[in-house]
Amino acid sequence: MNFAPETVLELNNLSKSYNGLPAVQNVSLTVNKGEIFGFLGPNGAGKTTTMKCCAGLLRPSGGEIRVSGFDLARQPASAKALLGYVPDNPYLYEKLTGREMAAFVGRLYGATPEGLQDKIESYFRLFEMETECDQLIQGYSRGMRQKTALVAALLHQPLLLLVDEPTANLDPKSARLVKDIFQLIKQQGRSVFLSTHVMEIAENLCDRLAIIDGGTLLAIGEMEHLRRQHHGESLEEIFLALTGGHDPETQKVLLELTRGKEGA
Amino acid sequence: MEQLRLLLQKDLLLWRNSYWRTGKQAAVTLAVAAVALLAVGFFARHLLRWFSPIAETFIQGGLTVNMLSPLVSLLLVWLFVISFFSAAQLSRERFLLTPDLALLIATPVSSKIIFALRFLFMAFLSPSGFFEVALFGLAPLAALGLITAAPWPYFALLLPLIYLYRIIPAALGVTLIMLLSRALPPRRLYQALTAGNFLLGAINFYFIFGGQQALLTRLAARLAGAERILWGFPPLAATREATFLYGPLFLLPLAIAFYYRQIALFSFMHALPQPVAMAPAILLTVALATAVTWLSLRRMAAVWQGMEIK
Repeated sequence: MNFAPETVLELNNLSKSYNGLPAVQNVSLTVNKGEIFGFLGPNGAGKTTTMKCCAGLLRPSGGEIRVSGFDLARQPASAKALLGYVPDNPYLYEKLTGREMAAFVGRLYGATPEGLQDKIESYFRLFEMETECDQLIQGYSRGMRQKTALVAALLHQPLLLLVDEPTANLDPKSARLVKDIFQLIKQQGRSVFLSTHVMEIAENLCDRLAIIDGGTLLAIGEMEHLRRQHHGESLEEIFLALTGGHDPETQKVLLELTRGKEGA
Repeated sequence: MEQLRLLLQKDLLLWRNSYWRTGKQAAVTLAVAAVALLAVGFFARHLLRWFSPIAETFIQGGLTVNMLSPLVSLLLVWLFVISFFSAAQLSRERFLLTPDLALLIATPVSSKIIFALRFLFMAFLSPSGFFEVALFGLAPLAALGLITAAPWPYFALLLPLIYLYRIIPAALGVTLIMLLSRALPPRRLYQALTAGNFLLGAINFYFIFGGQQALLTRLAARLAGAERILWGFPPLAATREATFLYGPLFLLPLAIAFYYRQIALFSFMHALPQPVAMAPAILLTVALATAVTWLSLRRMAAVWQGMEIK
């Protein structure tokens, strides 16, 4: 197979089933160098399953995943070393401090020890956690955990950052900071593959988007391309049109439910 | 090696932050350690009281040892079975359920390293493992050494030998779980193991509270006959109940326990300088423990590698 040098992630006919039930079916997409790629879909569409397959946590039932040319199934160590992964609900060791956790994960991914502590310090300062980073994680809020996981994933400067719901637990200021970090990653020629429910992030931050529902890829391309192809103005309209949110039956049921006493 | 060092360093940090971060935590840790040592001492003393009457009655060198050896075998078999079930129970959590696997598997660290490190921690450093070793291995063998006035190398080598002994059932316990996990979901696995542990508890209760003196008398009497007929074979025929209860499950632990008992006896029955006399036995033990562990873990790490972290 020819692998374009600009491609950092390539999914070829990726499929994943749980006990015979398909969660992801024949998904093919590429993420290019210096690109922020958004992955959209309703709950249970297969976004997280796809992300987990890309991170090496789930074994695909079919198809293949390549990270910068490395086959994730056959060369897992080489492929994973190029990735940074932040799940929607990241696991952190409760009995480590944020600083210890970030250093541990960063070093496992191959971050060099030189200047690592300074880098950790700077990231935590950016996230306004300079005091908390020396406290045990067991006392952290969800947002602080999310920030710590992000810091840990960024330390080794991954070629591709996989992020599941990057701003889910963050306050607006931190969410903005995360978006700025993604832009910087892009400017450095690295890539971000993120899944999100937030249309604003997808529309304004991502260079290309893919919409998935029922495990099947429904649309893929740049925002302009999606607008032209699916005759919608905003991403929300396109998303709802593709995933059935504008179903007249749904509207009817909603109307029934919200009619209230006077309508009854 | 770097990855291994980082994983060990993380475990050390976790331990320090859990038990040694503040002065209060350190004090509690020391208090628990002291209580544990006292418990081991109490159990060893209790066993000495069991052994002493037999030693006084048959104070004729090798005969004393022969009379006590079935009890030592029984305790070693007991350690084997307990270690097997405890490793099985622990490995269900450590290899299949702990959420940190999702973090570690996503990193470039080889899953074989993660597997091997978890196994070693489980076999050597788990607190429950320490109690099993201390109560069912160290205490009886130390008591045996004391009443037979064994030389100091016997005591010095006890702990490493017992841990090498424990690694065999631990490897087999992990193997069982890895195989069962392919057929049973973790919840069913837990139920199966819990049933096994209840059975063990019931048997334990019987042995401890079901008449020690009667058991000892029967043990000694039957052993004498059994060993006369089957010299060199495990003398568990002396405990008919155990043979019926465990059946084939006892065959492997029995063979290994017998071998270990022979090492213990060998160390104070020979006139050779102890380290020299014990060297072949120790080397054989290391080889045996390494072979069982290696064969078991090599296959099981491959099975585990193919599993998924949901």
